[in-house]
Amino acid sequence: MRHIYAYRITYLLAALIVAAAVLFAWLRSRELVLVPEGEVVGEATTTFRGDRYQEACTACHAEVTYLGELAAANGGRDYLVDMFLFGLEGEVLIDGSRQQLEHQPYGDWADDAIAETLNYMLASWGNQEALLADWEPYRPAEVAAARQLELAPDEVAEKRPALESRE
Amino acid sequence: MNRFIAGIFWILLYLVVVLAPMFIMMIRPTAPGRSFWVEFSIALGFVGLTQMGVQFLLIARYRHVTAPYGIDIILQYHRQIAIMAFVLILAHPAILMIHNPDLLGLLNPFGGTWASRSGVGSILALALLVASSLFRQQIKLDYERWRLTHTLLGFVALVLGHAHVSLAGGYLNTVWKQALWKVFGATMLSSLVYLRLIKPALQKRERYRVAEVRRERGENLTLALEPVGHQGLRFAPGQFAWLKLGKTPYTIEEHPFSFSSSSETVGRLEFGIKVLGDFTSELKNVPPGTGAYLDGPHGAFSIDLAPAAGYVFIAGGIGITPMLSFLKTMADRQDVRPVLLIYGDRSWDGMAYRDELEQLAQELNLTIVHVLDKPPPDWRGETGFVTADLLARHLPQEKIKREFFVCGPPAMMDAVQAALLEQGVPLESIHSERFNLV
Repeated sequence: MRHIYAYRITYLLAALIVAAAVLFAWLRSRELVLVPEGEVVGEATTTFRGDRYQEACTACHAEVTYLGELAAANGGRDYLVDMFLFGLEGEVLIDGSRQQLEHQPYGDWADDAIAETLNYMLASWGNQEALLADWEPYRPAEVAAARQLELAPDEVAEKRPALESRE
Repeated sequence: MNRFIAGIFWILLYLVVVLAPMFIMMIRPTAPGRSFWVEFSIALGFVGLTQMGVQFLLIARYRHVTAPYGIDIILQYHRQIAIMAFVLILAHPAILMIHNPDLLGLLNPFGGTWASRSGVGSILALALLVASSLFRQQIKLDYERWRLTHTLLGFVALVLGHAHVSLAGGYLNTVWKQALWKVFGATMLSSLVYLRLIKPALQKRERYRVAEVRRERGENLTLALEPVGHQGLRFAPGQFAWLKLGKTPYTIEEHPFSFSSSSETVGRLEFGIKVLGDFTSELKNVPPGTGAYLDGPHGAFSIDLAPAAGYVFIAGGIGITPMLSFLKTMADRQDVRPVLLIYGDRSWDGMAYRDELEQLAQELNLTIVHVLDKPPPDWRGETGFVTADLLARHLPQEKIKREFFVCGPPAMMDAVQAALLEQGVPLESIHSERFNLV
């Protein structure tokens, strides 16, 4: 009889352990943390990784210093995610005049890659100073939800907030 | 009730030890969260690794831990959860590589990073450990060599697994998390030090010597030990101990044997042993005075843990040994409770302890039913195996609640248990001890 109870408890413990792993993954996938560089230990980092930005974006632009202002503008948060996912093509208002602007899409990147790269950019080059006090970092789930919109590049251009650009 | 509470306590503690390190890693500051599947693979790696570490605690034979369940249950769990831990650890890189095929290059031990190399090394050691355990007999690896290999591979797998986590960074991103992880790993490995170094050192203080090796009917013998310079150990009838012979308790050659003597006897201990392999064959020639060491007592297969108005003991072959201890103990206690013993063996001439049992039947309220597979021509008793029909003929008809103890080859125990259930015996009244040793 002990052995039969033991089998049942073994399966129960195995299920509980896997369930705990699922819970951990769910909690962590919803959690993005922005902390100072000073808490870095060894090779591990607690800031957002910028390796994808370095690989894919620096061919066209180095530092993007107006992103914080753009993100803090009305509709800006959604606009940045849409631009990343669907690209951008159309006339936008820059420095008071309408100019043609294009940006290729990166919709083939995973949700967490897009979220982290956006957060990296917003945490760099002084952009964080323009963010509002209640700013929440992008999360993979937010990017996943935005994918459902399936916007065209010109539709993304129409959503761009009007602001003074430094570019 | 105390056993039940203790059993629940150890299970909860086990869950805490396996799961806590993973959730502690969530304490800020942490690396940014990633997609669900990436984090799930990390979680599986964590819990697989912590389960691997806890395996060292399970095999350390801590009596307070094993007592609520019986050490045979702990060993059974050790084997089963090892397979699960291995699958979880394999799932960790598999999910990562399905999610991002670029990571396949990390499987190359000559490429990748030191983190990936240590991870690959850990998995390889674990795979060898599992394979050598599952197929030990097919690859003809003798038991002692297997134990040594098993310990070494487990050690290597755990150390490399911990190195992988430390080198991968990510979650171990603070000094205190790194330290905690190292303390966890060291604590798990300390059980190995306890079992192989500290316990033998303690055993040196409680040495035994071989008093007698007595041939019994069939290929069986009784080994009698006397304590040297101490009172000996006390055990409950039906328990067993691991035995080491020779001058040193540090030998890895040790085997479990059931006590066949009365638990009321102080000092001299007797074990009933069937000659099956190399070690038991050599026992026949062990001279009196040879040194011996015991790790015990262990086991939850005891009438003292199942008080009842009467008992039914069903033994096959050398499975009679713990029953002999039951009966001798009851005789010393002048216990008048009714006992039915159903004892099956191959032949009448090879039936171990037949004469002692007849003597005990004079002293106790004991009825013996012999069952022979190959009976002599003039045999009028039961033949074949213990079946439901045989039980129907012999099980007591009075309404007192009895407890049933079954011991013998695994196939026999399975068949007898099924037969008892068929006769309406409640499952909770059937007791057996199963050692699925590798």
